[in-house]
Amino acid sequence: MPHHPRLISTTLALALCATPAFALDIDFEGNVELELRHFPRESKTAAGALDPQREQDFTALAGELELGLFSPSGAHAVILKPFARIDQHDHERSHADLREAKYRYVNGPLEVSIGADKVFWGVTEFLHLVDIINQTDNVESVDGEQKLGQIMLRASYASRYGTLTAFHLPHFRIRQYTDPVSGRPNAGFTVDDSTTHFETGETGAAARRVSDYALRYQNSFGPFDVGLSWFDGTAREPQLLATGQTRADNGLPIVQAYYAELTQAGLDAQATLGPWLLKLEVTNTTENRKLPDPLAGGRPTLRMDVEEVEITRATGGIEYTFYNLFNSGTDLGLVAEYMYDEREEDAPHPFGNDFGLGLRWTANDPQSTAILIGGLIDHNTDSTSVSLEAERRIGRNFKAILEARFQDKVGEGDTFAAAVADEDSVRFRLAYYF
Amino acid sequence: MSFNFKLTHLSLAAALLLPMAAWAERPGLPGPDQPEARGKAIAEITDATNLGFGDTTSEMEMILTNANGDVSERRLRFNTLENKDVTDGDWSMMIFDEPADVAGTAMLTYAHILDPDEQWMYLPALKRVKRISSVNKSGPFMGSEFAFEDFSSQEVGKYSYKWLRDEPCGELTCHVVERRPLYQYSGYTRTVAWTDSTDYQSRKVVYYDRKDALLKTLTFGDYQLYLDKYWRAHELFMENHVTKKTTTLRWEDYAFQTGLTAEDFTQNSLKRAR
Repeated sequence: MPHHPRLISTTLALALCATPAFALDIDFEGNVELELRHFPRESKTAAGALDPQREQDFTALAGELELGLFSPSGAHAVILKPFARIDQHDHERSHADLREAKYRYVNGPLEVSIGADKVFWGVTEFLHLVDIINQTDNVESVDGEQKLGQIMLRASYASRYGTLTAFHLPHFRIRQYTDPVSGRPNAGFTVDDSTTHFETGETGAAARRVSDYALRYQNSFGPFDVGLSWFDGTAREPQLLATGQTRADNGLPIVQAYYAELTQAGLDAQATLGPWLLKLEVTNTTENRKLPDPLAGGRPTLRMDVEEVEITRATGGIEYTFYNLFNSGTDLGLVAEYMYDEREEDAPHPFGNDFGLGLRWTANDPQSTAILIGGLIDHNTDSTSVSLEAERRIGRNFKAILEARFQDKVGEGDTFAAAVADEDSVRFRLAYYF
Repeated sequence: MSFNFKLTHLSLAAALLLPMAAWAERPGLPGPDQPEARGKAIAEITDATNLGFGDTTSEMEMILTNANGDVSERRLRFNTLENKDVTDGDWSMMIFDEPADVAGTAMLTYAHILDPDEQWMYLPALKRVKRISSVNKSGPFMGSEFAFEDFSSQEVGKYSYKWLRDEPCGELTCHVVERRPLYQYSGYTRTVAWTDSTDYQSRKVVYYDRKDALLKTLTFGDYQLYLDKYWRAHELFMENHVTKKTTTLRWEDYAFQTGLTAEDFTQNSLKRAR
């Protein structure tokens, strides 16, 4: 193994009593950031009045550290990666998490790890369907890209016949939501964690002690990269059930989260053909869902029976890159993807029958300037939303990141789009990396 | 046959007359009357000097300087595994250490001769391995004056060759050979390479863009010998004549035959790279 010349990467000799001294490579790095979020429009209450409790400007500080201890051969490693954010107004968004806290052992083709970790599966850009191991860190960002650390026992074996990885997931983490009084974007409802219900019937800490497992096989065949996955465990995305109750302070409807047991088979595939990337992700999920309650306006409630449903979802499309555009040294990439759920507009998420279009420009300059523009169009309701992300390194250690999200058009009957109609946002971050 | 003889005879006479020609022509090298064969043979000799290196690990500092003299720096590590199959390219892993915001980003490449290389990029923030297109030959590597294709392994079969002349280069004599890329998407019509006739290592390369205009010049310095067999240049200087920007590469801590195997060049090992 080569050495690791990070900012603080030193070799520490530990003399252990009479045993021969052994050396550890230590790797320490991280980043801290200042975040400013601005919401151009005032938020509205459930009754449609302006909501003065929700501010338009939020300041936050966040930091992530990574400490790695490695044996000289690299066979043994301990990695700790704590993360924390403090938000000026949103108490739910002020949170801390161990993104990683694991021991890892490598012996030739075999890799075993135990502890908190993050795992990503999949190939597409707009929607990650097959990716299911980690719970989404829902308060951190609205794009679903941030994940909470997941405790796991993982064993992976890589050979020329592909890589097989098995996961045991003994602990479940519920999804967190922004502050019901001050948080933005304002989802238009609040999830009461104290009434969270699990299909297993367990409550509290016992409900979080689970025995979920997953399997993944991955291989590359020339220009094709293929992954097959299987998950048997607790749904990461809860079914939200009506309670008929509202908050006394701001009238927000209170819903309760219902976590079903599910099985999910996933396929992800990419063909890399010259400048073309062709991508596909498909999932087939079987889960028990609560039935609509006629006494709650057709919304599901806890008192209802469950029905086993099998749902097929798919997303896929193309990515094409013009490298060295007009000999400028810059690249322009086009992404076009389609998102499908067989329930279409009845799906409990906004990606029932949607198109995503993206433009990614990378300057390839010393500051690594990059701009990403994305649009989402709902084929059923014509709702459209637009996002813009731009980033640039400043000096040696700073990076500025600007993100803007706008709901451009709210289609008729589109409850997801209507909920965030006043929640357009601009987010600026200045991060220091060390 | 007699024509060949005459030419060889002539160049021999020239060699005897000129004091610079203290070097001996490598036996078996096709003569100046066969510029294509001679050019290719020179590339094959260079390639053979690297045969059997097994694997290497090394670190690299990259210094980017723009026309105003502003400087920015990068640090990377390279691991390479020689492909025992000489009809195919080598395997390599590139790990970024600095700037700090890209630390942990890593790239795995299975190089091929004329088929497109296979490349995967690991993005540590998302824990995502992404198969990327290897079409990006001519684009700048990390904002430097080096293009991706300047970094890829220089397999003999990737170019056609034409020997131009032999001439002094410093204290040595160099073969000057024109190379034309045979792979797709190159940013060059041709490059002209100066290879010394003693150790058969590159001393200078001049690059001509798609319109055959002079683009940049690369000079190799500080050659060091490893295991009594393998030469490695430790300072590479690339000068872009159009933008007036320069990039210096400083290689450090070369280690040969460190025991890397194919298992160190998988997607799992890409995720573990740090």
